[in-house]
Amino acid sequence: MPQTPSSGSMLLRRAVRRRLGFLLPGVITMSLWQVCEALVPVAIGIVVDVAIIPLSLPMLLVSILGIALLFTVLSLGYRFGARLCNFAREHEAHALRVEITHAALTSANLPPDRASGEVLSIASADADTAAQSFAQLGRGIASVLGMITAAVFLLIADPVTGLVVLIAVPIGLLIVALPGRSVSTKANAQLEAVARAGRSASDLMHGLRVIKAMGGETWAVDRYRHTSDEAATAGIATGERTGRLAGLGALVMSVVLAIVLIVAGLRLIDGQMSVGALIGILGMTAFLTEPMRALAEIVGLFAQSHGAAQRITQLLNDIDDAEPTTAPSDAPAPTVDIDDEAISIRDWSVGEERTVDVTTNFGTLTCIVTEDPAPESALLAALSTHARGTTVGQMLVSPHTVDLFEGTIRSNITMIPGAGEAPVSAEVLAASGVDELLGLVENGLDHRIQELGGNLSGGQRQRVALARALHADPQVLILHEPTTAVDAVTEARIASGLQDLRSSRGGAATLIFTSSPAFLAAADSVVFVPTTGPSLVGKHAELLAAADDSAADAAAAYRNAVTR
Amino acid sequence: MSEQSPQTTLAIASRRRSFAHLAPLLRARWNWLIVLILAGIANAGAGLVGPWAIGRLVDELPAGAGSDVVITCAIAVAIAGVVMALGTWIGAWALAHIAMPVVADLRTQVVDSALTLEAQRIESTGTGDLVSRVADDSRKISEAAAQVLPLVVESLLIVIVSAVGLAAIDWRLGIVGLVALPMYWLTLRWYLPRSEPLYKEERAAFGRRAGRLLGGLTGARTLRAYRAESGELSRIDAASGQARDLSIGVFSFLTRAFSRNNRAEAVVLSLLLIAGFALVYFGETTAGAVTTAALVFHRLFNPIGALVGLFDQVQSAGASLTRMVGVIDEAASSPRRTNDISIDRPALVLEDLWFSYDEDPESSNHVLKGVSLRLNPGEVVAVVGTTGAGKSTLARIAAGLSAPTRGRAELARGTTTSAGETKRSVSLTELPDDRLRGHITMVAQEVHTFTGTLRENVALPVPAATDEQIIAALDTVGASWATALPHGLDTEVGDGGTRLSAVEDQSIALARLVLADPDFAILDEATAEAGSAGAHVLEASARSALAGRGALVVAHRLSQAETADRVLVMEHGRVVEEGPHEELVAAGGRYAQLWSAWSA
Repeated sequence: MPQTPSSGSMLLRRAVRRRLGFLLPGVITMSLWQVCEALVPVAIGIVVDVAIIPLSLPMLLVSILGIALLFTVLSLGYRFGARLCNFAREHEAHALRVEITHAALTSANLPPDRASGEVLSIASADADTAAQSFAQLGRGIASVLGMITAAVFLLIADPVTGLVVLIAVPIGLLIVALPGRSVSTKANAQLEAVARAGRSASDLMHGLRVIKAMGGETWAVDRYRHTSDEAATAGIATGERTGRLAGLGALVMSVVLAIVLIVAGLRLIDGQMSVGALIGILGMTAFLTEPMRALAEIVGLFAQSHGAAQRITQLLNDIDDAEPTTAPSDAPAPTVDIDDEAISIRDWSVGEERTVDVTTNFGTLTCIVTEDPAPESALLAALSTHARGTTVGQMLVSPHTVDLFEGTIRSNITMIPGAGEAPVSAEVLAASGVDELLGLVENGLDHRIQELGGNLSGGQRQRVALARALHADPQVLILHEPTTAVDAVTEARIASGLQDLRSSRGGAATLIFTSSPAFLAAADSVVFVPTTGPSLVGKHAELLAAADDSAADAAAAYRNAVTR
Repeated sequence: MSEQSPQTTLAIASRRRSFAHLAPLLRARWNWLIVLILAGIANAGAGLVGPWAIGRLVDELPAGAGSDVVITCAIAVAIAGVVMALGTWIGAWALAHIAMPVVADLRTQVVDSALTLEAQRIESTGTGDLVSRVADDSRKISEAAAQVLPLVVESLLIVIVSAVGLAAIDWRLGIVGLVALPMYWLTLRWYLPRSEPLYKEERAAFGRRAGRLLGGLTGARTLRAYRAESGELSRIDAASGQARDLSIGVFSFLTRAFSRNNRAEAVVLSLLLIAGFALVYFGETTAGAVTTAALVFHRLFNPIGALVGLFDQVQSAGASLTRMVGVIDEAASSPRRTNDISIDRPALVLEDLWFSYDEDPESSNHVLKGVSLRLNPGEVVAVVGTTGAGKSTLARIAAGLSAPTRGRAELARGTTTSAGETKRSVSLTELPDDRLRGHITMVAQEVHTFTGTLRENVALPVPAATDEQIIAALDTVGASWATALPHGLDTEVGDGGTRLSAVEDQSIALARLVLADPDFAILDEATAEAGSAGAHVLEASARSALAGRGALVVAHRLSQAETADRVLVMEHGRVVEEGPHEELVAAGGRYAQLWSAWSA
């Protein structure tokens, strides 16, 4: 992958560089359009001057042809210029999106403070906003060229009036632009208030079942009315401010027009200026406000694009930096070793000065029970890191959180998108408890799974995830609390089915982090790591018996941890 | 819970009905409406003064008029500027006073309506559609009211007043200007039917892209574990590329529509100049008037472009409106629960319950097949069974959230059911929500912590609860973590706030139950995701929360059944065993089997 840009500006510069082929002709054509727009009032003035006042029919004919030509160039200029800029923009947004998602999905681990929601918003909204800068670039340069055309015309038509226009218009716009900032702050506050009301509505609807079950309808409506009314109040304030600003703009431009009108009128009386030039100058004075206002708006929009570009580079760099540091805590990571006979874990730090070694021979099932969740996640992290250096067939750490992907139950088990006919063995379906689920849903294995698997219950999702792990059939399989949402009877069936399936495969080791008695009973050995004191190793029944026999702390803790 | 419910959808109101719904809201603000219209007309009218002044100079100056004409014109333009400034300002102010409260009323009505929809109706439509209508559509309407509406109103008034102005200059020029109408109308006729499917397709592609992105990003850990990133990435790339190509197509279509606008501008401007030429030639009008007409028309380019360009945004806001009014109408037409009987210390009686998700009343596909149960005040009953046995459906009916297809679910007076006693009972689905929730509340499978403070979250069933009551409720369920939060009850939780663990989220739900203080609590799988240690904690919390009330507990963990007064074992929609834990274990039946699997 090429070097990640180190700042928002660099990202935007890179964007311009790689889309120059479309941007350059786009900007040139757009400018052609803007120049033509500036010439429309000039053309009206010329027509009146050369055709209507002298009542010359041939000149009228020429004038109409001229207008047709002007509008043709204007129209084509916009059409193709805007298309080219838009083409560049869409391609850049797509490229950024791809870059972000590839980085997020292929990096060893996302920085923990980056929630997937944030990455999603950067990959969708920010990528669009950053690429939006192309459209602004096109319009901005076109506006500047349009104004230059106007200025040249004004100075040629009549230097004195032209100068007055060129001084008065920017001053007028400045007067309008100064309070503009406070209005845009207000407008942003209003948008934020509307967004807040939207989020509140969405939050309430997601918790709708909770509200209905608890009788919180009054509570919910009152809460929502509050945020909604806030948004309305903010909206009224913004509306009034925006209107005041627009009114000020109208006033300032009218005053400018009045001044120019006096100057131009007097010059005409003195015989220094033609009628056509007067119409052109006055028409253009009104026109000039358009590109100038556009330019002011573009500056604001560009700030947004730049902010978005900055967020993108920040994320990309965070992902780059996250790669070398994978250890989640200060404790040294345990060593994981796989040889011909077993997977062994050494120097697993489970507390101060306490380490544990675990060895699971191929062909056996080991369960690990920890009282404290910290060492458990440390070991899981180390195992995941180790697994990344191997293939799925060699080692697989199946996460506790179930992620389902849009497709079918089959494609979710085989992890092949669009897996039409890929077979899933009956043994896997039985051992994961998916066989029962298939009877409940339409089309069995080819039942549609919605985005994020929203149409399956927690227990059903866990079974599909388990089937996925078993289908992958790795030499070393590590599971983390795989059946917390599955009912007890099914769990017992799954535990014994899983044990049978894994031991029937020659030379497979299985490691399960769980406190579920069903799995513990099926395990060849259980490792118990209490919060304090020595760890215990043995069969589930032996450990329970030990707890009955002695009052040893660790044994009693084990009983407590696994009794339900 | 098996999701076999038919995916019927919520109603969409007709356009006529939607606007009729807005009418009373607008009528309530008629005085602002008048201000808006007056200000708008004044503004647009003052805008005509500039072109008029230029036209006058064109006529008078070559004819030898002095500088006084120039000064008069300049003063007129300046005064018009003041009128325009005031008109714009007051108009925007009035519009905001109309649009913002109307939109706020509308979106509050939708949320209110969504909340009063029958729970069963929500189950049958799914919450997705409702979320999209209540959150997305009302946001679209709000944004349209803030950004699109002012432009549309202003442009519309300018176009109308300028048309009148054009006719006032010379009625014949006015008629020529009218040629613009069919030309723009043809543009819209050409544009709208083509744009709608394009936009629809584009929106669908955006949705697909967002879905794929979300799926891939939230599932990143699994994808990495299975080294399956590349497959998912290529799906994301494909979805994004497809959306990009559609967007490019939509935009190039849009530029063609703008070209049609330009064509209309060129044609009408040329016609105005030709007609003007003819009129001047026959001495019917002056060159100045023609100039004014041409400049007035030039002034219309932007407003007309805005109207044509915003047309589909207006249309899509209209579509959002019909979807919102659809929800409002549906809630208004759902039957009212009016049976307002109060029963002191009632019993919860479920008799011969049958339930099917199929709409067909003769359906044989029943989730419940004749389940009967009586819960006396203070009695705790646990329901045990495998997935699909009908436990959750039973719980929903007991909570009054679903009506049984057949059979009775009611609150009855007294603790005995001796025959002949004059029965006073009321069906759960007839009680008004607030009355019903005073008797029965449910902690559902779904756990949701709302965005807001901890206080607000716990106070859900009793919004007026005092801090003492809330703290007491949290204490009852043993939520000692709450006192350790940085800002106590004021700590922001939920999306964007302090992240809570699964156990903490659940204990908020239980604290709500304590605060609601109902006669009966219905608990469904309240400990499923908390892990083993968390489950122990939550079971203790639930026990405290249930103290002194009756309860129906859907037991996922058999320890919940062990401590219940009675256990109900369900299989395929029927009760197969019933009795206290010890008895059932001793009986050696289905429950004993489950128990031995559990306590192995």
